[in-house]
Amino acid sequence: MTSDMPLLQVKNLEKYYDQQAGIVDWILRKDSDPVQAVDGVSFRLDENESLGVIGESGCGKTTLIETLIGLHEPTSGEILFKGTDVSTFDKGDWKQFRREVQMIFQDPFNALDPKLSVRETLEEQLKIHDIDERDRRIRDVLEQVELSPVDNYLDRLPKQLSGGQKQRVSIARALIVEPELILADEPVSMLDVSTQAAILQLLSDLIDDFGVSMVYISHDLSTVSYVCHQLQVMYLGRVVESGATEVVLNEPKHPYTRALLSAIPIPDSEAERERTELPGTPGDPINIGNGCRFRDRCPDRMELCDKTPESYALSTDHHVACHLHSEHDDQGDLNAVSSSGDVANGQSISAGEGGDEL
Amino acid sequence: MSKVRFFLKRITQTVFLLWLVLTFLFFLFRLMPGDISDILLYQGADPDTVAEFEESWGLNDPLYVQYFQYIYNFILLEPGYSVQTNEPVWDFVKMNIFNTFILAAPAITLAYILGAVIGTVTGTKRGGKLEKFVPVPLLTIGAIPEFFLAILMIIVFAGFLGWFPTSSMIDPAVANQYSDDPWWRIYFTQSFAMHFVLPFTTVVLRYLFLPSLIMRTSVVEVLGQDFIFYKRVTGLPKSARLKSIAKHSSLPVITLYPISMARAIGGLVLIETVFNWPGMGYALVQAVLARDFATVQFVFFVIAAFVIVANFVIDIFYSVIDPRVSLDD
Amino acid sequence: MSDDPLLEVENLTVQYKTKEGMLTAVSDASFAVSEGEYFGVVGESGCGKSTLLLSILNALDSNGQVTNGVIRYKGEEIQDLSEQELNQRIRWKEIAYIPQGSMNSLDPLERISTQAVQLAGLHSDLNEEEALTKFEEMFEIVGIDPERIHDYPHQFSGGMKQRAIIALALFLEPSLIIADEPTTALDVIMQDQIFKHIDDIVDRVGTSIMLITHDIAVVFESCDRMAVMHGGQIAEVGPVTRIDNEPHHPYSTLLQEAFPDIREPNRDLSVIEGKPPRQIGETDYCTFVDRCPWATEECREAPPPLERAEADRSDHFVSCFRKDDVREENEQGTDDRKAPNQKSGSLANDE
Repeated sequence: MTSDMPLLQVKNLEKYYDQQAGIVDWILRKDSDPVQAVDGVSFRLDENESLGVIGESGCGKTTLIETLIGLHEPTSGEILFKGTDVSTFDKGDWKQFRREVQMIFQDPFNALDPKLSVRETLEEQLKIHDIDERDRRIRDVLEQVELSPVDNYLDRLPKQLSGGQKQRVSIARALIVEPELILADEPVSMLDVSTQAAILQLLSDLIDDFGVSMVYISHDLSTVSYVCHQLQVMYLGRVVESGATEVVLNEPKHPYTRALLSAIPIPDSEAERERTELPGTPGDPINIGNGCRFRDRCPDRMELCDKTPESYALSTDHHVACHLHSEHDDQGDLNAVSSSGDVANGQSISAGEGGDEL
Repeated sequence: MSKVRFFLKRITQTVFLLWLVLTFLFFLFRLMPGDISDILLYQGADPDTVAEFEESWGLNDPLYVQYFQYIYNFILLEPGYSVQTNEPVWDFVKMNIFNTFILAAPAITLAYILGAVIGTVTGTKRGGKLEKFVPVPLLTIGAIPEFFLAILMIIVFAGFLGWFPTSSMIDPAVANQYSDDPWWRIYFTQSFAMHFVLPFTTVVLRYLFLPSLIMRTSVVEVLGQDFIFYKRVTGLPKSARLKSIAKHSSLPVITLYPISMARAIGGLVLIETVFNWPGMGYALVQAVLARDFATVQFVFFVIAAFVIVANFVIDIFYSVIDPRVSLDD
Repeated sequence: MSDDPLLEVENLTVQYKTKEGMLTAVSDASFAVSEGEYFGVVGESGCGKSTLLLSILNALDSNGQVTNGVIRYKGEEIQDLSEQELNQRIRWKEIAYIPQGSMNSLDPLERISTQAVQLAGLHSDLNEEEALTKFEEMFEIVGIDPERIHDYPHQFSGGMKQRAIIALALFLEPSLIIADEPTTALDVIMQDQIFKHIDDIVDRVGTSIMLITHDIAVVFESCDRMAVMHGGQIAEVGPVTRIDNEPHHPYSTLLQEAFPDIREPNRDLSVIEGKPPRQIGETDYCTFVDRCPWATEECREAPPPLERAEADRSDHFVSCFRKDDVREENEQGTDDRKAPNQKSGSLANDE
């Protein structure tokens, strides 16, 4: 489908958490600085498309997905699902939304109720959303996730399944209500490498053959190419680089993306990989003021980095928020992408943070 | 810095809670149905007597004046006069408070020490005989209502066996004998010791199951911790490992200690009544029957204050043994 | 360096007592680690690599036991030593350990320096002052500010805790360090730094390291020799270059093909169906048989012996009845697969 309306559009999304304030702070009237978990993230996701959100733990990718699914109220910014702002949803809209948007969790070992058989797990989901023809749907979906012959699996409990099989059941549970969007949180990171490939293949088939769109969260760049069309690399709440998967993997421009890529071990006894040389660890996105958030660890730090970098378009398909890639400073604003509406169909772009500048 | 902050925070919280309890008690007793003068004098007393009474008790002052007076008096440990004896409440109940503490504090402490030992043994020897046979009787005893347990103890050890006296804290004759000595003298008599054994044992038995079972669970959990395994592989001898296990597993037990202590002090109302033990619970019952609300109020406050202060002390203690506490606030 | 291996595992079988009977976790495993060698053990969850490591550390759960075979350390059989002997002579002095759950391996109630001083008191002649000075040096090696040795574990981030654990392993200069998935739960960048430190140790200190991991890429990159384990059996042992380029065991081959390579983001990944079996009683067949595309009836009848992969090589062993057929097929496939490898060489260092 090629309508102009994206399935999911996120504009300048911010999610700040208040730090827990104690009674002493309360008496002293001390305001604590918020945790800027997600800070100005924008993207659009069309039907049949998949977007990978990449970053280390603490980069805000989990908060992003939890905000997208409605677990948190955004601090500011908009989430448009099929063109409607989710903040205007009423109860019925949310119910519809919760059917059309499904989640797959990282840990297949804890995501399933240990007391429910495969059939009951799937049935429960159908009951919640009031869907008929349960038996047929259950069988179909199990075929779809390649748990066949179906009769062998219907009455198994989670403990009688391997990790990969459990993750297939998780996927089936998401799939059975025919969602339009699946949010997948590191779905293969806890699986053995021998089954990882099968799950990646399955997820990729969902997108290509069944018309599902996907937001795929991962810390591991080596597997995203199997599932994602687009990538966004996040660092401390902000998107530092975004673009088509091959472009980002083949021509990473942001120093952080490069570090991430160069840190991945190569399964080749003769390859001479230079180990990444990145000092320190990401801090917390608290009270970090202006400037590039990566600057303290960046090998290419310049004076300019104390100013928050705009997102520069290197091509229609590739954006990077790094001063290294502004042609030169005065033209920065011309190249910067300021808002998300005017970008060509199917491109995801990263945040423009005009308001942040001094 | 953060330690200071932590203390400051906990002190503020403690003071705030004590104030909250005081305030609550103040309004609770003023919201009770019935007119105070009716309760304290007698129904249908003549209006002049009532007026005089209200005047002398400050009942005509505006509520906020009464409230501040009340708080002020409490801080000075002058929580009013008992209508039973017309003595100040403090003079009236201080011995009872002491009697309760000498019963509860050593009994609960012993229960916790015994419990920690039982828990460690049953927790480290999993699947052994002890683990099978110890928890059930402990739980059974713990499940018996305390007054019933007290009666059983009296029937068996005082009635059938006749080893111990049935009730009260001391033989009146002995008490008389020491009436001119300092107040603490009677606590060092054989008569007191004999009277002490049954109520003390009842409290220990009644409260033994909780620390035993918590300690056992805790030991089992700590045994499965990575750092215990790591210690083993680093070649730390068993004795050193056991010490570490005990330290870690006692943390949750320590948390429970003040809670049990507070529960015991509240729960002693029944045990004290059965044993005729002149403690706080005993005083409370008498005061309630006599509608001596100043005393009731004060005893309530002492029990609540004990819980709050005990928790404060434990928190401070905790922050000393566990370095994570003060930073994670 | 002597010819005698530092650690020698011979026909090792380890079993756990369970309700269903004796569960065999490691079956007839043999390999050796020489002095100064960086040795990798690779396999999926359930392959027996953790049990193997526990038996070398003499730290099996109480229901587990070595039922056959020997573990020799510097020529001495250590599998039957008493706890006391182990504590006095072997543990930490000779064999140190880097655990998987490093996040929780440091006692949270004790300063890290206290834990180090305690170890020095047990296993060395260092006095407290000397121990602290030495531990500060270790912190320097792993890249933490030496002043922080007196911190409590909770004041460290995950990566720092892991480095502190490495410092503790190095502390008393053991001859062998056994590292069990030392980077699980760490982010890729931190993982890379940790492995950099471990590489440094091998190069500078000369300690032997036995690395247990599921990550074949890490082993290929860093180790000298490796063992591939499946279902409690050693499938293949040899130099990493050999197992990378000329794997003889079907499992080694498939495992490599299943592993994603960032240089070839679109390569098809192979899937190995099923999982290692849960073996009650003696293992009298090849545990890979149900997952193996090359399997025949022969593979079910007896466990394949660990034999020379090729008659003229004394450093490469494989346990597969059909190793020659597998090798032949691979020979044809390998060329196609290896070619694009060289092309997209150093993607990360682009520019």
